[in-house]
Amino acid sequence: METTQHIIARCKKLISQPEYRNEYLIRIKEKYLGIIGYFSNYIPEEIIAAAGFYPLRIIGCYEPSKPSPHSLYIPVCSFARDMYSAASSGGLSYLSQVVFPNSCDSMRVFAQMWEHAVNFPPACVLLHPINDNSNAIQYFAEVIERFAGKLHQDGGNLITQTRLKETIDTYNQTRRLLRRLYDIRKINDTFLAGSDAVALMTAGLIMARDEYNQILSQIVNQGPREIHKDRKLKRIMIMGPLMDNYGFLSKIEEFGGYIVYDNITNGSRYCDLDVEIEGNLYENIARRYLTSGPSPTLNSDKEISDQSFQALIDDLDLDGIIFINQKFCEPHVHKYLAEADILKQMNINVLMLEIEHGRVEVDERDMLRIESFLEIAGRS
Amino acid sequence: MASSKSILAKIFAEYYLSGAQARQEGRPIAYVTAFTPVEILRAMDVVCLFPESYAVVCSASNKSQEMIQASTMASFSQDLCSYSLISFGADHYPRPPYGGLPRPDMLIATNNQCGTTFLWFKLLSQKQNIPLFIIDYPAANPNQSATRPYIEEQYKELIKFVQKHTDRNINTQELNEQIICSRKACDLWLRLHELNKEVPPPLTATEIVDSLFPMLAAKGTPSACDFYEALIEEKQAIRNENSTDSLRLLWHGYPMWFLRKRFPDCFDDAFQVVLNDYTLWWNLDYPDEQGDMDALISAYSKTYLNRTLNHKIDWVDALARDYSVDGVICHANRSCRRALADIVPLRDRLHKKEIPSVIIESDMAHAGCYSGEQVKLRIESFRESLSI
Amino acid sequence: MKYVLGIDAGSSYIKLVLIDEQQKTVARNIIKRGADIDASCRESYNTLLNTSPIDKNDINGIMATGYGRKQVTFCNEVITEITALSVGGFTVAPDVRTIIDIGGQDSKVIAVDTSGKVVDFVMNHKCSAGTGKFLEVTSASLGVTIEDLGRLSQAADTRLRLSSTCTVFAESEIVSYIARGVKKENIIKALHAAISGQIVGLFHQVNSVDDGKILLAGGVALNEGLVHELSGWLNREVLVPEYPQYTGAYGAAIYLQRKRKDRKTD
Repeated sequence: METTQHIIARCKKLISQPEYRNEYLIRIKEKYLGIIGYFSNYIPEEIIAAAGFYPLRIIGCYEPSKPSPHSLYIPVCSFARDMYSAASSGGLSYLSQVVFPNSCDSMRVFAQMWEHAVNFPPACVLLHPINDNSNAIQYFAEVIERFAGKLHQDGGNLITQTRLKETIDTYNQTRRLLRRLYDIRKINDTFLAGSDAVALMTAGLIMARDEYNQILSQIVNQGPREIHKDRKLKRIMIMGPLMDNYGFLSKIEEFGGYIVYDNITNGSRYCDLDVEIEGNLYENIARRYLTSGPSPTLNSDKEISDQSFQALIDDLDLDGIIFINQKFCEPHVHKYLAEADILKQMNINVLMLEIEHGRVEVDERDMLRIESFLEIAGRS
Repeated sequence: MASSKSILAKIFAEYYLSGAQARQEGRPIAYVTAFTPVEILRAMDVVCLFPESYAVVCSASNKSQEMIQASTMASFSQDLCSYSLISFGADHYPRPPYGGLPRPDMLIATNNQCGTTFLWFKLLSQKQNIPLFIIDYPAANPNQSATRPYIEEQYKELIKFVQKHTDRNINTQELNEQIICSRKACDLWLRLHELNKEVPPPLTATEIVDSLFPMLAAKGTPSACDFYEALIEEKQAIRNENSTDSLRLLWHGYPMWFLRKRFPDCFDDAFQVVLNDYTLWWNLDYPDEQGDMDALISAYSKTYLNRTLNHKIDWVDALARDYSVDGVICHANRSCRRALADIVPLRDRLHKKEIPSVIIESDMAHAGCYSGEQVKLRIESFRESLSI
Repeated sequence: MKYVLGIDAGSSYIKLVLIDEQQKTVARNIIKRGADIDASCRESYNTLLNTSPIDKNDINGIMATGYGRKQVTFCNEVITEITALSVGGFTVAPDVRTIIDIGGQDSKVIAVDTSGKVVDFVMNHKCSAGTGKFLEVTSASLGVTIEDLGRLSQAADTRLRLSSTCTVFAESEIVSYIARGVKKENIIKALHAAISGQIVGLFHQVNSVDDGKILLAGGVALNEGLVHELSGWLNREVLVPEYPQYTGAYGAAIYLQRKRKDRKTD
């Protein structure tokens, strides 16, 4: 049996070595109708998988800069910029199509520039709503059903109720296992470092789902039951958009932090809710995607000033929160502006870091910020 | 008939007094974004104020830099949209123009122009604890039939939301009249632009841009129509018959509100902007003779910035042809990412049609992002390249 | 013999070129710009006159270009550097279709047609790392002279990445590298790559008439390391004129001379 250490090392390779990742994907591609890449948590993977395609969440490239025939000169976030140059230099050519979300203007610009200058693989935009009320769920269910119809046309596989139910079940299983992982890490800080946990979760966005569920359940089943909390470690929660730079997170832990929880795209926001399998499945999927841990690109009523958030902080026994934002990421900048004051009023130490996506090196100034923050963070 | 100037002054004064007056009379105030269906709100007796338009006034009063500095001192990132920075700055600035806008009873935002206004209003709602309603317009795509009922439901929800917070009901006859009036104002607005198809053009780009205000502040009211009718009549009366040899330009994108003439000081009779497509964004598609919700959905879901890339490029391309322009100046406005996406594809299209174009970089409202020498160098070089 | 003078009042240097009726350069001078642009130009002009055998009275026209062109009080006419560079670059190499200029303040990519006419041009963003000023600032912080950058970059042994397109961000990344004890040769190479990346971005925005040759103008073209890097990014050969820093001044002089000839023949 593969050791946890070995699994984590493999996950890290999948994330940070594009060539290794590409080889893995090209090998696996044969078993599916094609790989469909997508860029956001609002694209229902279940539908793609049920149609016989391989859903791949596109993450950073981590390649040293190389000549690219096109560049986005527009001040959009570094994720969109990096992905655009990767795509236009052929770095995503193993995909059979890509699906863009309707989430922020950076993504919209990216989608339009793709349409104009990249063209391959062909792209479509899933016009999900930004509201999360029942009317929006109804609308989104229709959009998803139409999307399923498109995939049926593209690949020839009809998405039957049974097939969809099975797929939903597989994805729910991942979500449940990930939630258990959080629960274990909450009570025991010796089990898995936060940076390793993020690497494990991020790799799940790339790996074949059956394989992933299997390694995840192996790791979770080996998890300790006893409580262990080292009082010297500062318990930290990270917040922000997609954060696949586990190396950056390990710096936080090297300075004496323990990333016990997160509110990031590829973390708790990915796994906090299941899709119900009774009733209208399209509606259930729509509801799950719109009401799970809200991203700031959505107009949701869920607020951090809620009592539930205070309860979460107490439960986690938190020492501080680090917002890890990307330059020019408007939704998360707004989120920080809205929440920083509230958190400070709740006596939580808050640090905001602005980083460039895909940059492996940690800025010297950011290291200083992290180190100083961990010195002062703590329960008063 | 009153002069256009006096009607505009009246509209301006009434708008800036409306907040204080509403407070006195106990009428509700809403902050709205530029492409909010104000007809619904006005038919519910809600006074609509536009923070974006207020940011324009602050920028035109030379206050943009100080007010943006005030908001960055309150930890707002410089990278945000300058309209929102100016607006947040007003709360931290000692003497904002006109004393700032009065505190609203509710916030209504839409995403049919950009993704920023919704984030901005949401933040305002969170920071000041003001009820917020967001109207979501999924990007206008003719293949999405689910969109229309979704928007219609939202309009119904909006009415309920206003009822809940104001105890006011909608006057459907008033709504109907407003929509008809809005449509008329749009027709007149287009006609005003079309006067500039003539050689020489009767209006300067500055005159057109400075006539935009009633399209927001007085839309759906007869005074907006009166203003545009008067202005068209005046311009037709003084039509210049001396045709001179001139280079005709299209200014693509936002003007620069902080400049005295709203555009750089590089133009004259021989080299003039005959059309700024930005002002035509307000010419919304209200169907003929229709005064119902359907008409509103049609108008507000097909705003320029909510359209597909191809549709936008086709539209500007057609304008360049219809107004017989010799060149296009593209304003890459740092603040508006959604508008920035058009520039490269548009230039490629224009190049195919052998219409020269040039990019200048600046901002719509933040004077600190304007580098006069750089911009002038680009425009002068462009002029040289068109003249030689 | 009558002569024409071209002055390029740039943001970092003042460059003067004197040409004869055969468009041959007979004298040139370059000085660092002082606070008073007009005075700097006069100083350079005097030096040029003192060091060449040409009599001042034989100079029958002065054309100024460059960012300080309007400050030059003793010239007859002014043109923008876009036009000047296109004329200068095209005269030096008529098979050129793209002229790149990395200036102190601005970088420009200019597309010309088969007759040398400007068909399109783009310039860098206000805040971006693709300018000569950035090279200057960075070489100072690395403690090397700008002349040494080319030589040093060729001794680099790893490829580092400067991810940023913003000068402030890029500078902080460089500081991080310095703090970590990274070899300065590698930092310089990364710097050249960052600038090349910026230029390639502009290059792809400009609408060229065909894939003709590319010419790099401006003093930065003397930096072989950067030329090599840029050529790699563009995947094309990059021509460098013998005196790249004088391309604008030379073009200004040629432009004036041509204009006068045209007037005579009219």
